[in-house]
Amino acid sequence: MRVVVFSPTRFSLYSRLVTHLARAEQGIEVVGIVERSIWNPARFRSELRRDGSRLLRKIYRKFILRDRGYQVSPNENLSALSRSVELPPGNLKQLAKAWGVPHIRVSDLNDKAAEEFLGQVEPDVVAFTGGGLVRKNILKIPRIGVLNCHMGILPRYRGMDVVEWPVAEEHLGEEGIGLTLHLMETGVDTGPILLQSRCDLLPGDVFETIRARLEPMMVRLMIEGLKGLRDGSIRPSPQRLEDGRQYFVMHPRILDFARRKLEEFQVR
Amino acid sequence: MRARGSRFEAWLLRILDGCISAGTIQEFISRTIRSFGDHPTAFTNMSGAPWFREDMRAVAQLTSEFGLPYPCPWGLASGVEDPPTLSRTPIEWFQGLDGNAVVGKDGLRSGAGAYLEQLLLSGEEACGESIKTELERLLRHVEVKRDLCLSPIVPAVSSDQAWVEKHRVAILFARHARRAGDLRFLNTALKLNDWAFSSHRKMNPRHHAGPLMVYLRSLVEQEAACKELLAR
Repeated sequence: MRVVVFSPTRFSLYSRLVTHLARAEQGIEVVGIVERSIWNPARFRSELRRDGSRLLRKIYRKFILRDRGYQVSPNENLSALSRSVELPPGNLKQLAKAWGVPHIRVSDLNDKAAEEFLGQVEPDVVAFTGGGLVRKNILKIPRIGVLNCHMGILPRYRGMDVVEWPVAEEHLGEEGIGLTLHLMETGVDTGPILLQSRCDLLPGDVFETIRARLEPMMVRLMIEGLKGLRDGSIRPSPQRLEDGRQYFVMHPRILDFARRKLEEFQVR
Repeated sequence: MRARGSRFEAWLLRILDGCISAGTIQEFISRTIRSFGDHPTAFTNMSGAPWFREDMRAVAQLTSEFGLPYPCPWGLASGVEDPPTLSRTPIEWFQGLDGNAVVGKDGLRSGAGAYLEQLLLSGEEACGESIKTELERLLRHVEVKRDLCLSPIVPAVSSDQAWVEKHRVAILFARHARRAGDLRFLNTALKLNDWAFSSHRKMNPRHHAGPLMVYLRSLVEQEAACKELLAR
């Protein structure tokens, strides 16, 4: 099965791990890597408008701390996973060169260049590991589709901050926190579901530790999904639009409420 | 030095997020209620606008009902029925929209917030699903366009009236959040009110009584919803 990896930046540990582990699987061939350039004022503006101050933290964590950002956490995290699977050092561009995998950098994942690249390498699947919205012109190219691991339980929780929203809505018991691997459509997180994985709360958990724990689970779920598609053992199951709602970036006052609820839930 | 650094960081994050603290909002509500009391001419100037009285009454009622710490100097005008403030029946307005769309590429339909609120209050069955769909579309529009949302107003209106229209949408969201227990709508109402804050912070009730009173109501509706939904 021919796979192309879409990456938000060349430093993304998630993208590197997915690429590394996918390459290690028999019957899966990574035939290309498309990396989104960070030097794109339109991208910066749109992410700043959406994320506000969180973008600064993201930049600090991803471009300044890089892998070091994970090492101080005792939690299971991407850095621990990268050590356990012996991810070679280097950014995605350097790794692609070492592995002999074709690599391109685009200012937007929906660019003509990305479209032409996919046309040439003819993937069965695109493994999306971040980098913004993917539009129809790209979605229609891979034979099976574009895989995304959503940090939330679908179909109920679509959109943003869906680790925090189930806690604020006191739906931890019903829906829980977890991941959903699905095929992307033009709607937000509305595509057919392949796999789900739930995450248990641990004593002392805060949203940051839960997210850190979910990240390595995302890598594993993505690889499990690729293997399932390769073997034909997973069938995408369509979502009904009316079974879910779209959520947006949480306002700090509601986030404070969600933090309180998480503490209360752990005391119970 | 460290304290100054963290104050600077908090200030920077507030600027970037455009987020106003609960304390600042509550202080503003209290100050604005006082300033309306200090400028009785603002009430006289707006005496021809029945919606203004309706908003005054709502502010007084909510502050008393929820025990919000901002006593209203104008109190509750009980037993006085205001004339209807909408020029058409809400159902006529909704059915007259092109494709029942309250917000389109050309902007927000004038009266959207007020008419949708009336439609939801009346529990109108005839277009129940369409209204829910439009509410979701409006929510998505605000979240995607952020501080550029809800403009222009169609047909065009004055800048003061454009603010009134935006505040009516925030009121709609805060009230719907309480009715439906849907925190997503309170989330968006909080953002809408935060984005409007810098433009209203120094507004004088003598010159901008209309938008200021509706903004005041929107903030009081928001605080009432926060008290009901976030104090559990």
